[in-house]
This record gives sequence, C-alpha cells and structure tokens, in this order.
Amino acid sequence: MERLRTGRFWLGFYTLAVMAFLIYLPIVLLITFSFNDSTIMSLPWSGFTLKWYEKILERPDLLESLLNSLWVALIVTAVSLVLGVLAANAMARYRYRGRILFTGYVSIPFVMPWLILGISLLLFFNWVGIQLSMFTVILSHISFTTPLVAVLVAARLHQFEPDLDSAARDLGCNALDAFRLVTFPIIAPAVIAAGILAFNWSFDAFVVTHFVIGSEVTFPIWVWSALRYPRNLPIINAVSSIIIVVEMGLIFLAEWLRRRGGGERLL
Amino acid sequence: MSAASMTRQARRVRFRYAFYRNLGLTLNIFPPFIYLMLLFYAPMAIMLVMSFWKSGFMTLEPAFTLDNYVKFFTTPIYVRAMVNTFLIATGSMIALILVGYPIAYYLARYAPQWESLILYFLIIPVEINFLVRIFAWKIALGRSGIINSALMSLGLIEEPLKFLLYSKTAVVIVLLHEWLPYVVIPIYLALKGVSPDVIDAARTLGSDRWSVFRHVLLPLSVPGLFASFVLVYIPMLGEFAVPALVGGPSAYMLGNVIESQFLSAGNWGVGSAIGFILLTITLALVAIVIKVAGVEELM
Repeated sequence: MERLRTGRFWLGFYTLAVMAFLIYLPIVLLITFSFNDSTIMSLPWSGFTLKWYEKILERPDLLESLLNSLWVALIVTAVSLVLGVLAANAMARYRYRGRILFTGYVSIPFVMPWLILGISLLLFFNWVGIQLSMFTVILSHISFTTPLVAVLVAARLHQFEPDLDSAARDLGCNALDAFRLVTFPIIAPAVIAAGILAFNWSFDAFVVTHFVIGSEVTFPIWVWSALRYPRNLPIINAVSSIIIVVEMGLIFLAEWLRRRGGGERLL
Repeated sequence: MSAASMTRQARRVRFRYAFYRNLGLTLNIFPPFIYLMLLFYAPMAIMLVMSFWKSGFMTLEPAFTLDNYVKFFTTPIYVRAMVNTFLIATGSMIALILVGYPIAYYLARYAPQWESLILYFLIIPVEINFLVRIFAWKIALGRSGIINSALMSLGLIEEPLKFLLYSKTAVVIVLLHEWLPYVVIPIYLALKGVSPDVIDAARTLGSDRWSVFRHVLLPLSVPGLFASFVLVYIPMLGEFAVPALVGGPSAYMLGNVIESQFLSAGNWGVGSAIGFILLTITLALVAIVIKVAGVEELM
C-alpha cells in the first residue's frame, strides 16, 4: 500500500512537471512578455507596460484579419455541419453495400496531411482557373472540416440502436420527423462538439490557407507574416494573450453551462 | 379484410418504406460525396497527373516524364530533407509515447478527483493558435531566451546553449508540445475502457502491479497507441511551420521543400512529385495500421 501511494505521488508529480514545462512554460512566457517594455523578448525585465495592447487598436490590418477569420470560420462551420451530418447518417444509420467504402472515402481526408491538401487545392484552383480569394479559402477549409464533423457524429451514431429510428418510422414518423425528433436529440452533443472543433480548425488553419489565399489576410496568415518583423512581435504577444484568456473563458463557460444544464460532456 | 389483401398492403408499406429509405440514403450520400470528389479527390488526382508533367521555373507543360521524381531522388538537399523528416518524426513519436504514456496511465488509473481538470488543462492549449505557440517557444529557447538565462544565472552553464534554437532539438521540443495531448488522450481513453474487474481478476490470480501492466493494461491500450500514431505521426511527416520557424536549415523537412517549390522556387512539378510521395507514404501507413489493428479498433 505504501508503495502504491508513493507510485501515485510520483506519477502525479511527473504529470504536473510535464504539463508545466512542456505545455505551459511558453504560454506563460508569452503572456508575461506581452507586458514587457521592450521589443526584445529576453531577460532582464525592462519594465511593465500596456502599450502593446494599445497598439493592437492602431493596426487595422490585424483587426481586419481577425474579422476575416471569424466570418470564414462561421461559414465553414455551418456548411461542414450540414455536409458532415449527412455523411455521418450515411456512414452509420444505413446498412448497404459500399458502406465501408463510403466511410473510407469520407475518412481519408481526415488523415491526409494538411500540406498535401493545401498544394493539391492550389494546383486545382489554378488548373480550373478560379482566382484565389477568401472564397477559395472557405472551399478549402470545408474539405477538412466536413470529414472531422462526419467522423465525430458517426462515432456518436454508432453508439445508439439504429432500431430507434426504425421504431419512430414504424410509429408513423416520416424520415424528416424521425431525424428531427429521435436521431437529432441523440447526436446533438456530438454535433455541438464537432461544430466547436470545426470552428477552431478553420479559425486557426494556417497550412492550407497559406497556399490557397490570394492577397487577403486571415489571422494565422497575419501572424505568419508579422513573425518576420521584430517590431511586430510584442503585438503578437498581446493579441495572443487576449485570445488565450478569451478562449479559456469560453471553455470554462461551456463547461459551466453543461454542468448547469446537466447535459453531456462536450470535450 | 382478407388475409391476401393484408399481405398486399403489408408489401406495399414495405415497398414504400424501402423507397423512402433509399431516397434518404441517396440524399445523405450525395452532397458530401460530390463535395469531397470536387475539392479533395479531384485535386489529389490533378497533383498526381501534374507530378508527371514537364516542369521548369514557373512553367508546367502537359507531358509524361519521370523527371520530377528523378530530380527529387538525385538532389542531395531533398534526400537529406526526407531523411530529416523520418528521423524527426520517428524520434518525436517515440519520445511522445514515452512522455505521454505515464500521464495517460496516471489520468486513467490514479487521479479520479483531478482527471477532468487535468484533461481540460491538456486540451486548452490546443485551442491557442499554433503559430503563436511556436513563436512562444522562440522566447523560451533563444540564445538569450529564458532557459539559457535561467541556466546561466544558476551557474550551470557558462555560455548559452546554441543547440536549443534553430536545431533538430528545437523542432522535437516544439513537436512534443504540439502533439502531446493527441497522444495522451487516445491512450487515456483506451486505458479508461479497461474494466476494473479485469484488473482485479489479474491481481486475485497473483499478478503483481508490473505484470498487470505488462500483460493486461499494455496489450489493451494498443488500440489507443495505434490511434495516436495515425493522429500524430502522419501529420508530423507533413510539418513545415515548425522547422521553418525554430528548425533552421539543418532541420529542414519535406514540408519545407514542398512549400518552397510552390511558393518561392516556382517548380510546381517537383513540388507535386514530393507531395505525391508523401501522400503514398501516408496511405501506406494508414493501410498498415488498419491491417494490423483492424478497422473496428480504430472506429
């Protein structure tokens, strides 16, 4: 028993140490240095300042990029939820020849490195003659968020008896009602979780966007180009700190709502 | 009502049911099928075709030639990038499992009261833009970065450690940071799925804790290991932002070669050929995992 307890203690200690150094060290440094009165991010500490936060407002290009990422992510989430739920239905609610094949068809994009997706879409748009723009960015994001939604929702659908749906149909529901009244309430938690993830993937997508964006700028693209100019670095710190705090807040809010509503876990 | 008309009616109902069911299936399949055909499979096919085209600086002409592939395999810096890619991805994957497994084990077996809190803190950084987190590592790892300053002020080293930034070490550290949650969570879920009764049974039959781990938990966590392999190893092969930002020329990976072929060197044919090689490796790895682990294990 004594050995068990020390084993548990050291494992816990190890877990916290890895989380602190490998996961949180850079994030804490990032937030700390957003208040440092110097463009060079190293010790010694040059004094406390809020000026980098004020500078965010002086950068219309940065605000525009954030706004662009926001509306792109909203459209991508909406479209990929529809396409993904349809695909998940076909993957999990029906029995037919070719079901495994269709599942593979939808899942392969899920494992494909984004770099390959990015270059092949660039070649494709170029070949078809579609000008690169926010529109091509949206089209490209949907290609990787749809499989994400499909895989997550299908996993949830697999857990429930397909007979429930048939039962509703036998009792007089039409297909749409059976979906609306029976299936959807069951998959709703997975759909919400998939929507949140799809939004995040699109908002943060850098690799694919890097290849298929024209002259416009999303937030990750702004960060990528800003990284080349040292005077921008503290502003990246400041805006990232704000995003980190907002996102942590949103996660805890979602969790709090879930506990309050007695719903299922989202994460 | 006669029995015959009843069966007729039943048949009609069944027919109508089958019709609507098939219609429903069709309506469910087609939109995602067509979308992915146009914006995933067609682009992949075009990449494959163009990898055989005659390619020069900013030009690409229809042809059938293996020049792009030959150029890739005969240019030393490209071959070195490929070797780097496998060294870095394989080394990081092994390190990730060694670092992540104990955490997953702790979460699944020993930490009932902290479980969800630790999971949250593991997931939260994933939500933070990845480029920003790579950049944050530059603050930590630079010559006058925090780690060097701390080690020097403690008197452990006299000069800054140069290998911390712009090296393979830096790439591996950042990859560990990026992918750790994706390794821990599948293993955690697999270990969590092991019924306590199974463990009790092993203990009752005289196993010590090591043999419970070795003969019960480890084999049962293999699906989790496979899942994290697919989730992590394959994307690492296509990495280019990490080596570009913290790796420097000595750590260039295939991703960097591909990116520069498309966005600066202007040789799309060679870029397509390397892209197609990477695609083939990806599909081969997935096929091997499915063969070894079985589809059911992964779904």
